[in-house]
Amino acid sequence: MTAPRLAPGTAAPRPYGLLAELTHRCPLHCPYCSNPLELAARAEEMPAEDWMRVLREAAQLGVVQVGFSGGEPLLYRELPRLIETARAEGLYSNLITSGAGLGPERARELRDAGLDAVQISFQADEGLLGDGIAGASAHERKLAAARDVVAAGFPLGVNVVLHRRNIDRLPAIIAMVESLGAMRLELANAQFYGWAFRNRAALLPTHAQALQAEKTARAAAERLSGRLQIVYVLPDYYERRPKPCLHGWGARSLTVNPRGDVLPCQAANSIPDLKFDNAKSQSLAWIWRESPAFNRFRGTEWMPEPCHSCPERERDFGGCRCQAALLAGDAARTDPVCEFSPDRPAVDALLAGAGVEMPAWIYRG
Amino acid sequence: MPTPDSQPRLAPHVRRQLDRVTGGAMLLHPEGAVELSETADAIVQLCDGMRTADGIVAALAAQYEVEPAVLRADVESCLDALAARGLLGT
Ligand SMILES: C[S@@+](CC[C@H](N)C(=O)[O-])C[C@H]1O[C@@H](n2cnc3c(N)ncnc32)[C@H](O)[C@@H]1O
Ligand code: SF4
Ligand code: SF4
Repeated sequence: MTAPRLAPGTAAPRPYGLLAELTHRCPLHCPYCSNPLELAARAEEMPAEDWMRVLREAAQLGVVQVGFSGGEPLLYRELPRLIETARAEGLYSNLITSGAGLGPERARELRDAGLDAVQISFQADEGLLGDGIAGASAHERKLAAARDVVAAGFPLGVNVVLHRRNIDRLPAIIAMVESLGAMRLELANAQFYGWAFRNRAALLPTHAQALQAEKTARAAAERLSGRLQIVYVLPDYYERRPKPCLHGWGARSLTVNPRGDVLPCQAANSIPDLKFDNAKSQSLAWIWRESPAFNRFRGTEWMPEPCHSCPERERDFGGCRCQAALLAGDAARTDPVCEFSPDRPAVDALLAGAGVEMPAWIYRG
Repeated sequence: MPTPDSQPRLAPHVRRQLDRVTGGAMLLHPEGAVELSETADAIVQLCDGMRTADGIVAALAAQYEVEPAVLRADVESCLDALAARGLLGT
């Protein structure tokens, strides 16, 4: 059975989550950054008045959760006002930050504005490696920020992006996070979009590294169960089946980037032939329900073979559209990670290079 | 998992809120939203950090004409589901 095709304007489901990328500016330069190569300049950033309208429109559409991210969202001067708006609209708000610029006063100020939760990313378990990855002096500030966040009463989440140069440090990374008083640790193998795609040969772990890390993460998740929730995001190039496209394209969440472009997901910029509408000129409701970009991959009708007749299609939605665009040159193809994809050799060629070459990486701008 | 003597309440980072779209109750937490059935919401509202599971069953029995055994099963499975998602505090 095929799911009924979503008729634009009628059957679009409601979104639950909004990722608000306030700025691309960032004091760090992580080579694994998933932000696009063409970073928005400060002058292109959407003004706070527009963001406040976006938050109100999002809440009307059904959004209940907002993540303030970037770049570094703390560099967006009007952040406290946006948090106040989110709170007034009943949105649960999460600050997704590198931790740079977050001291005790700032943490309390954001708490008073109504912020609900904070997630801080780390590059490693210690400063030498961490700062080398970030391309900036950051590790000690992150440790301090984590303490300030917990002291201000926020639930703290920690995110660590794993790749070739830090994945062997996983036991020490987990031990460090245990000492921070975090509720949750997300260990995300680098997803190859934006700067990470450009640096993929330098970032891709070897298969042995990936297997060892998965074992370590699993054991830690069991050991720490009830104290620290550990979520492990697999390195999908090593999998035989693709990761699902969110909960479906345009099904549960949306992203607004610093310029105000509204995207079905944060990596959707990787698809060159999709035109995204902008929140400064269109209502969020129209973009969500009617815009060509949001309707392009809804449902299953658009799918090519082998997906179209595959029993998995309602579960993984044919995999990631952005990955298909990046690796197969066409967003409407089966995700090349899938073992049934005719483009799988493109992924295998990358894997064959892992551990052989060790190219230098290019720091994010 | 809650024991018979524990006195459940929502974890401090969890917010109960009525949904604008459906009017139903929802629990919001850093990683998502849980939509509550009417029964689950009645149970959640009785999780005040003082009542035990037995206390919650008794309070529900006073309110609804349902067999206590049925209520007990509902309360236990609801509390287990909330605890499994890390939504209950101590
Ligand atoms: C793009 S960052 C922006 C927020 C902030 N600058 C930070 O790094 O925490 C958002 C989140 O995505 C994570 N991230 C960045 N690049 C990634 C990648 N290639 N794969 C998976 N996660 C990534 C970061 O660690 C962070 O938790
Ligand atoms: S991942 Fe690193 S470079 Fe990218 S926005 Fe976050 S801190 Fe900045
Ligand atoms: S063929 Fe398509 S639907 Fe089937 S498993 Fe592969 S990506 Fe998923």
